[in-house]
Amino acid sequence: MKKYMIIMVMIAGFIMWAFPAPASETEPRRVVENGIDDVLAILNKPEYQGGMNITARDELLFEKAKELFDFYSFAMGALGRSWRGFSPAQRDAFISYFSRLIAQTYFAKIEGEQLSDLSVRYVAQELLAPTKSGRQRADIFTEVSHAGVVTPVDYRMLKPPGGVWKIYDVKIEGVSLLGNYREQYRERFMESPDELIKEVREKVENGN
Amino acid sequence: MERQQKMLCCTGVGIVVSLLVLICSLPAMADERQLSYSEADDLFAEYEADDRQPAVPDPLYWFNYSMYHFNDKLYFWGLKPLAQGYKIVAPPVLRRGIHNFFYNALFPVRFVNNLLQGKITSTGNEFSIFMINTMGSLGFARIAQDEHGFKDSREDLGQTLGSYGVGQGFYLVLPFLGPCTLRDVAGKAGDYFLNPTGYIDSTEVRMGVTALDVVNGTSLRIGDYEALKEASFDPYIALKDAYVQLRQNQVEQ
Repeated sequence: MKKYMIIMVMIAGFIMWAFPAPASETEPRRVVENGIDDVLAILNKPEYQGGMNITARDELLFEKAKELFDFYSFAMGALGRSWRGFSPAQRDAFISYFSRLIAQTYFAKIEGEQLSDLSVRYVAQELLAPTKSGRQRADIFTEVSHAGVVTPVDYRMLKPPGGVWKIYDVKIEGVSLLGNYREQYRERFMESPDELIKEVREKVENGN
Repeated sequence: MERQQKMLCCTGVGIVVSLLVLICSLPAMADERQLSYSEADDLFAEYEADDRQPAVPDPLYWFNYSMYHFNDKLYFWGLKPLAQGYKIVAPPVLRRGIHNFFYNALFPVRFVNNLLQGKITSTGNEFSIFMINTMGSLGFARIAQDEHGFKDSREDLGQTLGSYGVGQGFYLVLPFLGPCTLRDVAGKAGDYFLNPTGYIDSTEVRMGVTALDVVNGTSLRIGDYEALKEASFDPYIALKDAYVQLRQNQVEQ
């Protein structure tokens, strides 16, 4: 039954891809598509080639990332139980360093990669039941091909009432980034928020 | 302000007022907190459902941790430099071709395990992919997938056992081979009989072929492990969880 669902979703995805209906710009799939296009456009800008102006480029990428990602929900999911012990100020502090860390790590990975043969294929979009507080949800399935290796990358998205679609989790080959952090923080709810913030801050500062 | 306070204190009303203010502000503060909690709650419910899934225990932690350390050093001091050198010598087209060749050679594993899971269509597809790619390019190109739209079904014995309801068992880190679980050790052992490399008579050739497979495969994935490690606070847990999630996801497919 589940398999048929997947096939149906894939067929639906194919139809949507083959016959682009008057899709609105606010559709979750479009948000991811435009986001990736923008990121690739930044990476391919001539002034950033050959390792030049990396700091400026990363700043631009980070601004883009903040637009695309719901780092609040991301940090909340990553911290799991520990989140409840964080005051609003501590949450803000944690989010600011944590988002930096994520961006930093994945920009570093892009570094030195041949981007010419990188391509992204949209497989499907699945709209899920909204959360209790009325936030819409969607999963976007893509496949990233690079250097002959095809990697499934799924984006999980949220849209609060009156807000815009944002990514709150990325699954690479079925491995949830958010879930991976939650597992690391799982046993550490006894540690004080300040300790955890200090740890992220140091990691961000040492990475540069 | 000071005069006012003094006055109120003198009359004793100040105490009453400040107590009242305090009492009134307490529920307000609690309300505010609850609001942000409930906003978080609907997502938390899902995370908690995730967390309820049986965690893979790690009774051999100390052994596993030292093996993790060993593999980590092996990667950074041996495998990675080797793969980087190889990457310079071998052009991407060749590396991709070799990768495809080894993938194609593992056809028996996928074929048998699709069959064991009763996935008739996938079994047929795997057979077609193997025939088309072998006849068309000796397995160096992915003609069936790229041009004819066939979809791979990367099944192995560990996944087959999983689909039969066998749990992952406990976590294991094997020297050279990396993260594993008890179920997957059994799976790997079984699949070994379906791996053509195992049937090469000459030990030197067999080891050479295996080394090429490993170094070539690594050259295509340099940076993945580094990213995982750098982004994590506890690389050991991060790697364990990534492995468990990956396998769980594969079994579900």
